[in-house]
Amino acid sequence: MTRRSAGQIERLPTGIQGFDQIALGGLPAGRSTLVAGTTGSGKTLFAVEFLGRGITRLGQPGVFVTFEESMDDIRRNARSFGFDIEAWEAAGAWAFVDASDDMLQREPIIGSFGFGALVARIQHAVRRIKAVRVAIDSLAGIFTRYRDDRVIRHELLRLTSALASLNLTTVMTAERAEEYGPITRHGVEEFVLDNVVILRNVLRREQRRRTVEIAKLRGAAHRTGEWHFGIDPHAGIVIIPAALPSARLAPPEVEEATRAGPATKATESTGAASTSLDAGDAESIGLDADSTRSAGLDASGPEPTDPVPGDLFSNERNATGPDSAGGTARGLGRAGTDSRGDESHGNDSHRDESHGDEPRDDFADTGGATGGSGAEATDASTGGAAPDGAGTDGAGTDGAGADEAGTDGLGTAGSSTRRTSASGARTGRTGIGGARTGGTGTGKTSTGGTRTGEAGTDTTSHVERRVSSGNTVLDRMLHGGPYQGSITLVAGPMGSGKTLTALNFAYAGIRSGERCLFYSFDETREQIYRNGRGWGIDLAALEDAGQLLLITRYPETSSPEEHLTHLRRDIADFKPHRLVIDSVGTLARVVAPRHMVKFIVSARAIIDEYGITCWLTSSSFSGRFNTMPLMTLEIARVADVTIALRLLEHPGEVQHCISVQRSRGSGHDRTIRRFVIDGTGMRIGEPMTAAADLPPAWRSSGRPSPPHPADDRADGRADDTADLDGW
Amino acid sequence: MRLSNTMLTYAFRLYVVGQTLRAEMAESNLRFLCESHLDGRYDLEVIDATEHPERAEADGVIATPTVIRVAPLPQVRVIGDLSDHSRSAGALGLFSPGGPSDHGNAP
Repeated sequence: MTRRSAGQIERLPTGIQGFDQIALGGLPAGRSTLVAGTTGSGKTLFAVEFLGRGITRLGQPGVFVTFEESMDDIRRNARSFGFDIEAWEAAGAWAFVDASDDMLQREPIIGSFGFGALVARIQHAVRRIKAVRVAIDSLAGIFTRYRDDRVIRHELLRLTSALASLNLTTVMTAERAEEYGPITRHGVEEFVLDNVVILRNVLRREQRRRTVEIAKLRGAAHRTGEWHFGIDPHAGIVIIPAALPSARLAPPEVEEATRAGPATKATESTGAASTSLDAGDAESIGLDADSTRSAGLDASGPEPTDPVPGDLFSNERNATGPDSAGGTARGLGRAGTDSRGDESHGNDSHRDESHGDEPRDDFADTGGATGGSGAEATDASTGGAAPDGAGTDGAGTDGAGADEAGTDGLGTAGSSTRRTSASGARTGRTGIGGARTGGTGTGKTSTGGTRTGEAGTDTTSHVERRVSSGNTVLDRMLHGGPYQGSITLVAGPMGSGKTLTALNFAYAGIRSGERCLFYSFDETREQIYRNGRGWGIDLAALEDAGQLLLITRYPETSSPEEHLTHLRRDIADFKPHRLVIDSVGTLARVVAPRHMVKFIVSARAIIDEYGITCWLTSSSFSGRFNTMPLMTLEIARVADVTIALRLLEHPGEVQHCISVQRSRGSGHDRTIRRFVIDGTGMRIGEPMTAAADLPPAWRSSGRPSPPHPADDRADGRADDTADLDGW
Repeated sequence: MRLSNTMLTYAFRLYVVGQTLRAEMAESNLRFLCESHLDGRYDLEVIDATEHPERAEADGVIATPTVIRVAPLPQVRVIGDLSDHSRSAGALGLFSPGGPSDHGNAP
């Protein structure tokens, strides 16, 4: 109650994965929040995590009041999620108030009563460990035990005000009778509590779906609607805010770790040879892909000059969350673009400095771009000091990506928004610092550049760097390989070589020192080992070396949300640079088609978050999109690069051929090429020509089902594109 | 006096919070019951939970007033201000001096 008049409500980050994003920063600090749910919806876990994350992430001690489960049960259950409550108790970070009910010894109630002793005990525990958080689980215990709703309501009010007067942020759980009905069974708590979060666990289409909804957060902005979450047996609650503008979920240290190291090697293969001390930065900017795509599209005009939008964005972000360094960089991609500065990129040295309001925020961007020579972009970022992160570029050294952007920008300035995004990020940072107008230090010298406020931006600077697909010809077809952080979908019928492309992709990364996470939903571990051996790849040895993590799992073993939480956990644990899912199409067995987009977008959010380059395979009937299963089409919508494999039935033999259907933000080869699979892997040949290579059936227009008559291959391609885009 | 009829000595612990009307009601009701049923053979300890939260913790008390009959065993508890004397006496196992079988329900 102490802060009610304070205008802006202060938030306390829960630390629960994803929750603070949908709550736009966390729970209202110093207040009580009701977390309501049916049995098994995860209420107790939420309460435990609320305290546990507070202790581990913010060093905030917490008091746990239990009305139902015994302390031992809670300790034991929490241990499996990695919460060592006993250790915390010993360290004085966690205190129990045991109000659990002994059903056999329920005392009679004669006359009026209150919960004075409970309040006294909570206050005592709070003082003892200097608690910041309190969790009460669950109010249902009080109601069944003391029955008198009127009294309980009155006493709850006293309890919440007592907690508020101690400035405690409290989570109280309560039981719901049904998923969609009154908020709580007893119908009184929601009048007492200003803030209500609902957890659901709904059986729908034979699938358990857990969702979390913020029903009300009085006086505080929050995201609405139900958000999926999973309960990860090791990480606890993981809420999946698909495609949220601030979809940066993981703690920053994970990010750093992900990006440290071998990432540098990846870039070498692109020929652009920009080096990446700054892998982290470029990737984190790439994170914006989703948000900027939506937010920045309209801003792609070449000459916007007003830095204000950038500032707005930054403000919004400040308001919305505990964003740290990386998160900051993200929005910046939107903020400004230096669309022409890159033309002179041979000696383009950006001196962007932003100060103004920020305490310390300049960074010398000694523009990496020393020509195409690929010298290191040493962008000494001394920023990151500003606590709110608004204008600070956490640790960013851009440069590498930006270099390349410059190169591309030469030819296509203005038209290729993608290309400019990295440099946009670079300058954007300035804009957000609010200091475009007055650098204190080095003036801004963007040689040859006109700074444009809000241009380009569109996508992802993680796309600035190319990685190898593992097949040099295919890389050529993609004009240099897929962009780092992109998603490639390989669609083709059974036996067309999808898994081989996936293995190639994985192996290419491993050869350059990267780690690869390989999910197989189709085959067993032994089968995959055998496949690898067939092409001379010893997968088992790579696994032993820690470069490969092979996970084979049948889709049916988990719900879609669980697959996502597994994916998230595996990524967080293994920190791969590349991810393969072979085949993602088999997930259709557990994901209803209409949920597929959501599923993939959620997965994309995870992948983007870590800047992982992803290779998906999915089956199709013939390799043409108009004959693809719905599932594959849904995935294709999300993918950046789509590659079709086909089987052509020539008289007497079946031939494989490959074509790039689309490649976002890049040119690509438009031919259809034959390839053969032999002991060395996949050998892609020259473009096929209609007369010589295509089977007769394709040339006669009479046959409906196989692909178009491709007497002119360019036309054939165009058709395919149209098919895809039409979807 | 104390050891007159039986060897039993009754002992009670009464948890209250602060100097409230409810606390006073509970204590006076309990004393009245003990005087009338036990002929003064009882010990009564009144504990303010705000001053001794650790004792409330040890006894697992969350509601106030709560009276615990510590002796004779087994422990018996009643929550509330004990405003219904006959029910309270029964719940606390108090027998009127007249007869041991009278569970306080006699007029």
